[in-house]
Amino acid sequence: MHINIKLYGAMKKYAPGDTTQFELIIESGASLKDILRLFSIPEKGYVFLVNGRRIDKTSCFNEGDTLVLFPEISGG
Amino acid sequence: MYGWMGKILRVDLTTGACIECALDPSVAKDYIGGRGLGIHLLNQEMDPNGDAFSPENPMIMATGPLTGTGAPTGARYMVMTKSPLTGAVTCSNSGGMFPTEFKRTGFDAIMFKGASKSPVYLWIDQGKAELRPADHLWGKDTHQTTDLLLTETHSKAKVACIGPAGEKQVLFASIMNDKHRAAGRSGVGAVMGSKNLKAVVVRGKGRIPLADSDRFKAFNKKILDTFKDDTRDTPLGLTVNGTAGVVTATQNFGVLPTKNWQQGTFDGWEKIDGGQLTKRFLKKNSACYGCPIGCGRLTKVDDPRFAGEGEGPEYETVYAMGSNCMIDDLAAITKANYICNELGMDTITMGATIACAMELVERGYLPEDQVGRSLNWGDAEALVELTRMTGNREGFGDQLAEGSYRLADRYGHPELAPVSKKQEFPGYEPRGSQAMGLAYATSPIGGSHMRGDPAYFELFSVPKPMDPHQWEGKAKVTKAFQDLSAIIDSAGLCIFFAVRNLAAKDLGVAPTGILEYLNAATGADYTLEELMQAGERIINAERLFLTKAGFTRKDDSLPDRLTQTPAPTGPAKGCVCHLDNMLDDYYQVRGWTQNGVPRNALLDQLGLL
Repeated sequence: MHINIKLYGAMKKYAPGDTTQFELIIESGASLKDILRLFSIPEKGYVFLVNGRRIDKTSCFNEGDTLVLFPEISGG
Repeated sequence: MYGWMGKILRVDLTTGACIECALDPSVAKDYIGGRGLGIHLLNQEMDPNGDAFSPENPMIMATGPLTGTGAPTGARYMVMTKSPLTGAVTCSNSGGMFPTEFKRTGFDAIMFKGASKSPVYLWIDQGKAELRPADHLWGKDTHQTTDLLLTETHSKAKVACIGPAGEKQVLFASIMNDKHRAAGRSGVGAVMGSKNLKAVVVRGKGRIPLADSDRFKAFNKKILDTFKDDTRDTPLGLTVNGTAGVVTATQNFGVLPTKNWQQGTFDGWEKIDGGQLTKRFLKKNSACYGCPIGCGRLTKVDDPRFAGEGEGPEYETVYAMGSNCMIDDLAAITKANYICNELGMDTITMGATIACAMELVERGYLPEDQVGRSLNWGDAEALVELTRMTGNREGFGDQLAEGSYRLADRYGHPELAPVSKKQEFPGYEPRGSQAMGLAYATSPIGGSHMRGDPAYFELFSVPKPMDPHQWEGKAKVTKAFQDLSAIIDSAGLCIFFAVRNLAAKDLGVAPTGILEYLNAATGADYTLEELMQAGERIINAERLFLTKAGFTRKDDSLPDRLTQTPAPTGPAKGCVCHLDNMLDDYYQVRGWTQNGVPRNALLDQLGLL
């Protein structure tokens, strides 16, 4: 299964290479937790959205999903 | 008194009299200070049906009991008056160094009434107040005015002033303090201009007296130590990229207002994000008095087309002048922000009004010969030129100076104005952030994020996340955040620190930390219930002003494009804002009638009958 990953701000440091937006092939049934472990991303301190929505870390992906990660932000 | 200075200065600009009055301790406790004290005085002094530009409209500047005490972000003051933009009450708030210096003069608040025949400024030197001629300052921008006043008063004084926009009564003119900080919204600067009051200059002395200094210091240490621990490894986004860093969040949630609120995503967002601001223009961070965050941005633009130096832009400016106008040129946005600060105007209404004009032109409702130039989406040079023209009311700028509602109405299409109560929205699209729509519609000052900011729980997960697309259950939480904001604004604190660090970590957001600070500072011995009731009292006192001025449910509204037209792009695609459903719940939770009027039983309970 293919998913898209986009890393912004300080989360870019977890990119596997030079590119911070890439496609990843994952096994069906893989969860967000598995992806975080794969890229050694810590448990806290950032926002993760799948197709613009918050999800549970144990949720699994669907083909073509976009996972976005960016640092916690607030203000206005 | 402790925490409070115990005195209010009443300035009659018609006669020139400056009279000191005592602050009633029971009023201080019931209304806290700042915004609460302001609405109490306004309700006493102003006929809500009076004209905002009438000399009878008081303009109140008020600090809170925590302003200048050293409590983190205790740096703020409020300006309260009847707004010429909305016809409702307004409370516009600002930080920097001016509010602390103001309080050190010995006054909690200043109430201006009347109007001077010729330009004047108020000079308070360590408790002694006098009005001085300001003819030589009229026409000068806020930076020139500040520099001249520091030369002729005292180099360590602090200045709040208006620029040409306030003098010319641009309906969204701001009052600028410390050059770069703005009491920006709803035209408080225009009211000041209508009174021929150019500036307030203050020089204080000594410390703010505290009821229990040891208790205050111990709690302060605990709060600051916790903040340091929490941010040691991961600094706050506000510290790293300023408020402009919020672009990343709003774009990815699909709530970044774009193309005059037609959609919630902008293709050019990465060019206007806070990360770009840091990389391209940031010279250094700046912080208000006593603030451990430092979200202010001292910036410099070298691009010869838009060269300048100053502070900002903030997130709200970036949305209003950037994505909302389809402009991805951060240099131009920053330059237009500098012009707003120098001429003394609100960047949100300025940007939103230009975006509205762009749509009026595109749809053929506004002829370009009226504008005097081309005005297409994404035109960065038009943004800068029209901003300057508006501050000086030159040419088409004279029409823009009335705000988006009056502009769109003039050309027959008021539905294109992104407003509630004729005030433009900040940068969170309610189709993908439902409670934000409710907050805009029910804010006493019209479109605002500062009178209860649901973006905290809908987008930032503070203190806990709520699904931004769901409308159910939002009324109760929005009320809780509005009441908390009333307490924060009245105490003299900043929402950026207080919501995260001084309130309970659940969606009831009880002001537990603020309670301890207030009791240590004032000795007023608030219970948590009394403090929360004070927040509710302030909201209802404001609502009473609106009710008497004729505002009802029909005015707690959003434009049809947010409630009827499904979002066309992004994660909120297909959503509309369910305002009517939320309003039904909200009025019930508030104890108001379904027409939005506070019931007598509630007013009696709050001591407002």
